[in-house]
Amino acid sequence: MNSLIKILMALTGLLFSFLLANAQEINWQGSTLDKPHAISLNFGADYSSYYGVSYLYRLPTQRLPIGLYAEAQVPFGSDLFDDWSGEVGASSALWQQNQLAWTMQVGLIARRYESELATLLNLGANVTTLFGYQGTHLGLSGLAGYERSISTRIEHTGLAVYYPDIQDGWYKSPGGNLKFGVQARGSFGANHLYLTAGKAFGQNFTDNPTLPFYARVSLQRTF
Amino acid sequence: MHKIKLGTWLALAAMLMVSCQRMEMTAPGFLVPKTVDQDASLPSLTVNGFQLHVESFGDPTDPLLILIHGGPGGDYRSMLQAKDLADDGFLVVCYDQIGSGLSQRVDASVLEEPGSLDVYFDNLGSLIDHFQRSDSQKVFLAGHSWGAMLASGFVNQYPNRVDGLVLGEPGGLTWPQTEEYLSRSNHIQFFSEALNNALYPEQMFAGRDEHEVLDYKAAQFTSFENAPGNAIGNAGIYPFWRNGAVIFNASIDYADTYGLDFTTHLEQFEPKVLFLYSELNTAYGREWAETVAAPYPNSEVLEVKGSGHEMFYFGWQDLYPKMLTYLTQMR
Repeated sequence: MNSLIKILMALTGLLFSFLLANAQEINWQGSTLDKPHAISLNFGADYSSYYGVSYLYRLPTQRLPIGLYAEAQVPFGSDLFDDWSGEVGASSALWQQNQLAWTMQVGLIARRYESELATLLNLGANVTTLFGYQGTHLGLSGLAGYERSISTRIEHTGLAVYYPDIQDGWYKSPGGNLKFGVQARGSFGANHLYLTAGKAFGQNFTDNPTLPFYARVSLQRTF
Repeated sequence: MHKIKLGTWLALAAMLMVSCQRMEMTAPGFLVPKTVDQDASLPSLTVNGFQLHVESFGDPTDPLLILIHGGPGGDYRSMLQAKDLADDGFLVVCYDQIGSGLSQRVDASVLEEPGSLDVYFDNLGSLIDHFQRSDSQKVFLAGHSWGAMLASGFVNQYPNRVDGLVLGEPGGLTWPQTEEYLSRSNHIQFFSEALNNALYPEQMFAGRDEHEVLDYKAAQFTSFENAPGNAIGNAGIYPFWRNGAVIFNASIDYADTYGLDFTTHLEQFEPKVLFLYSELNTAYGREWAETVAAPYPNSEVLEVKGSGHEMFYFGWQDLYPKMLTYLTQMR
């Protein structure tokens, strides 16, 4: 019985590990099919307000559509590049039937944060899946994701003033958040507008983000 | 082939970098100072089963002055200049409240039940019992912010146990009043550096419930309330040991669930109260000070010049003579 519970828990964990967020915007059913490049301007709120750019290249694969992407974003604020995050990864439409599509995305994340108290460099991973309707001009998908922090290098400045024994260095930072939401798309020729919104939870559903909701507007052009 | 090998080695190097010699965020003393139960060299006192970080300065027979820090979850480090009053003939007692500062951590369940907030008052009463050597030894309380709310809550329950009260900007003496103040003091600018500095690191430590991690995240949050241009007028970050994130949330949850009203019996508190507000806190001001002080039958409202909300640290030069004059009158 215990073995069965362990297997079920492992399968559940595996399922959750393949659910993630901050989905790259790509319309596998639409005009993107014959245009391999997509570049996007992004604005949103996710832990903080931010803006950024992303680029996606569709590989010339025949049977399984695969896109490789890179994204950079910077939080709003007076200090322009003290905080940033970058992500690289791959996205693929694993299943398509008529105008329904199931998309999966896997990415690696690097983030930097700086304040008068400390500077943090964080490495993490991101898995997102979307399922929904993808028409030529309109799309609407449900989204689920898991974003995991793996390791963080911390250098203290202000905090070390009042606590000189504080330890700088690499820390294990296993933990993450779950995101659930929807993504809507409107396409106008080679231009696409994506709206994504949802709710974020700490992975234990207890220690949730102070800003519990996330939203994103993406303006994309394919070419 | 060579590219694959190079990529493999780079990946292995990256994995080694992040997998070797990484420290645990929860290791005692690594990211937040050790508490009294982790470091026996810290001065402490166990009251009602809770090991508190406690220090006293001065002659044990002098009138007792207990400092009550802000928060919830803060500590008395920023109030330490008040130990100067030991040289003026007072026994100055500082303590970190339950679950706060260098006091032993507690679980949030300590404040789950209705009436459980009394643990703050029970501990304060026990400290008075411990340090007061005779009935003739007078007892004064000096509270700042949340600590001033607690001091009011204590005299509201025990109006005859205290001979004088110094209150520095209690947000309010009821929960609705406090929420009204917080709506001004925590005014949020969505696109500001200050807010992003407070929220951005949360994603790096997401979904963790260990106290040390939560306390460390809370420490990062201090950059928000003390950022340039902050409404409460603080000149910057001030000294602290540890922000007790769990007791902070538990106290706020308690107030949200059950409410707070520390005014129900204040009319029975006869001694004059010294009520202080700071010149630079734009969310407070004289009008709000007089509103909050109104339930006390006898109060003197004074402004602390050149300081924001954290007046026991940034405003001590102006606060000290005001406090000494009052305590000398009341002793």
